[in-house]
Amino acid sequence: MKYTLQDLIDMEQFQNLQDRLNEIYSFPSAIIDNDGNILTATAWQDICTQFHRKNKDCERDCLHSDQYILSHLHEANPAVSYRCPRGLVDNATPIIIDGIHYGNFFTGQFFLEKPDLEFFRAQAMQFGFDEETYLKAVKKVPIWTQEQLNSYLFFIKGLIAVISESGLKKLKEIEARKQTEESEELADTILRQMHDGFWITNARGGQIIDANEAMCRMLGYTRDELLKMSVADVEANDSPGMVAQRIKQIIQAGSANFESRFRRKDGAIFDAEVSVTYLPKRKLFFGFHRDISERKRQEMQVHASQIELQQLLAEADQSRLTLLSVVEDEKMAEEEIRQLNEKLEQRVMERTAQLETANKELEAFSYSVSHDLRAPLRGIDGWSQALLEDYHDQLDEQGQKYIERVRSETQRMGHLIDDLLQLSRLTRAEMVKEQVDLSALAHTIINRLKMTVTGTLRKVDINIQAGLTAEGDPRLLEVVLVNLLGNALKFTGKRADARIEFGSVELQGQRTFFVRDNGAGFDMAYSQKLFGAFQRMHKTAEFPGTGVGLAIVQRIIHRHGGRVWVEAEVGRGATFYFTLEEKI
Amino acid sequence: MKSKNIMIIEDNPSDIELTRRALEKSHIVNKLIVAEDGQDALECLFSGNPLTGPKMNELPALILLDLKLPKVDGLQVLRRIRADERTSRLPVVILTTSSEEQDIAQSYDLGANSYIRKPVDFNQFVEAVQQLGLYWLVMNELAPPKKR
Repeated sequence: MKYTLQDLIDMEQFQNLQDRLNEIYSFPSAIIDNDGNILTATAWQDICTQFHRKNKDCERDCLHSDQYILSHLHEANPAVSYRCPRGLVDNATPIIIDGIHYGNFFTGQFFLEKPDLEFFRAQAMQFGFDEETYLKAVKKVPIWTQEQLNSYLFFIKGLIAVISESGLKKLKEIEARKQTEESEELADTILRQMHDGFWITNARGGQIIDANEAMCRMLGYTRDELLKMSVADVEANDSPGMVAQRIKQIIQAGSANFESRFRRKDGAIFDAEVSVTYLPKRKLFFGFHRDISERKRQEMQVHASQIELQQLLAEADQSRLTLLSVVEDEKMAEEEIRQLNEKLEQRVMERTAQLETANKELEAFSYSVSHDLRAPLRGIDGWSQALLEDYHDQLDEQGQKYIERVRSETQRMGHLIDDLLQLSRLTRAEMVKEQVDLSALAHTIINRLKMTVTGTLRKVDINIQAGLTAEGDPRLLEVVLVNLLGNALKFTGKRADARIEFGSVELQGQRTFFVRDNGAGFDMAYSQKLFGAFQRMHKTAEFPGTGVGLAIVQRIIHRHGGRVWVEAEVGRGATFYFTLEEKI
Repeated sequence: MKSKNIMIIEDNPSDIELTRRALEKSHIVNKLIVAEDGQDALECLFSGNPLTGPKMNELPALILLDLKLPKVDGLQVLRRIRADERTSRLPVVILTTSSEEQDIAQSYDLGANSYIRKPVDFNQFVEAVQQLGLYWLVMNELAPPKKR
């Protein structure tokens, strides 16, 4: 319960009213609140206060009657009546204001009929009251009819209701005013102290009626300065026409939220978020402003960062694409290389096949040469001989010499063919390399040649260095030595002190073999021609030969990866040098 | 029975005659049977042919075989000779102009008894023929033919 009965009713005045009423109508009454406080009491009967409630036994009944009334108040319509065991009637009616039970209005005690004095005499006897004073008190108790009681009750109740309701109304008004004051103060404090800028402007010309601290700070003006200005003075975004247009829109919609720009007193311009509410009754605008320059700046930064990020992403994407295309290119290059390799292999195979075919053709050619060119030569030689034998008598000496010439030419032709065949065969023959004892080989060859080439057993000083070995094809190396040593024997044939040497020296860090003789030698001016096929340095009559030998030697040495060259001097001999492996 | 016939399988008439001459000069007077190509030789040896005459009554004691022959070449002839029981043990001397290693190797692989390269010099040729005639017909004991 918000209020007490004392708040609603001036109890002192009401006591006066009750006292007057009692004087006129002998109307005992009291107001007791719910906590049992007696707020007013008029003409409380002596019979109760002086007798019944003073006697311990009797009071018990009084309290009992009080209790009964209290517990039956909710049934009161309009009052609860109770006749106490002592014969007195009490009446209580709840005081209910605006639906709230504040307390009770008691009426009593009274009699509703003439009291039976005998009963009271007996009661005085019973409780030991002084009969005379007790009966005197009984006689003071008013006697009402039920109608009287009802009228009284209605009156009193109505009176209390009128008084208390007006009191309540007054209280509520006070309270409401207080509340309004409080909330206005609160709003004012909030508006004054809040961070957002706040101003009140009127609908006519947008004049600034009020502005808070934050608004002043934001715009850089004092409050007094602002109160002499209008919205258009600080608006930096829109033209006056647009401001008017916006004001119209706000009036129509009642409120608006938008972003705008304002100019400070120092000329700086800042972004602000504006929230405006229009109060139509007062024709005022409440405007809230928040400086969003920092936010804008951050947004710009974020935007710039985003753009940068996007550029980076785009660049990354570009790089990725480039990389992909590089990878693609590489793949294509690899594919191209693969295809080229395939082509190359194909071509190598084709060339190899062609080479093999060419070799086979060459073999067939050599075979033909060997077989078919030699056969007629043998015929010529044979039949020349037959001519000499069978027709010897019919040919003079000259004729016989001619026939001999035919035969020797034929045989020379045969040797040429043989050498040519050997040259071609050496080019084709497969090489099988192994360690070859050149010293031993040279000894064998010299012994063989000394018998066949020189024919006669002339004295030749032969010096073969011991322990000469080399890596090479033994059959081909034999051919080399046969030719070189054969030449040496041949070209020293006319010397009595023939000397032939086979050895090795270190030349430019490479082991070099040599065959040296002190024979006829030759002019170094022609040395270039020496290794060509069919090239000869001497007259056949002097030194017979086909001129193929050194060509064969050179070919074999080249096939071993070596070099061959010669140093010579006419009349003093020649030295043939050769190496057998490529210079490292 | 010992035949002293020599069979020469050779397409060059000059060589045939020179061979004959060389044999005569060496006093080897045995009958010289001539086949001028491989086919002739095979028919002569094995079947007889209306064009080249009947089959030989008896096998020769020695065959001189050139390699480069028309129709059926020398190596082919050698292979057939060695493949037939009747002639498998017959001495066959390759007498040819070729000194190609391959020819020599193949000839021996197929069972040639000897390989002689005809020299251009007739004197040497005579000497060679003389020696081989002497060797194969006089000094060498021939293998008996395989029993039928």
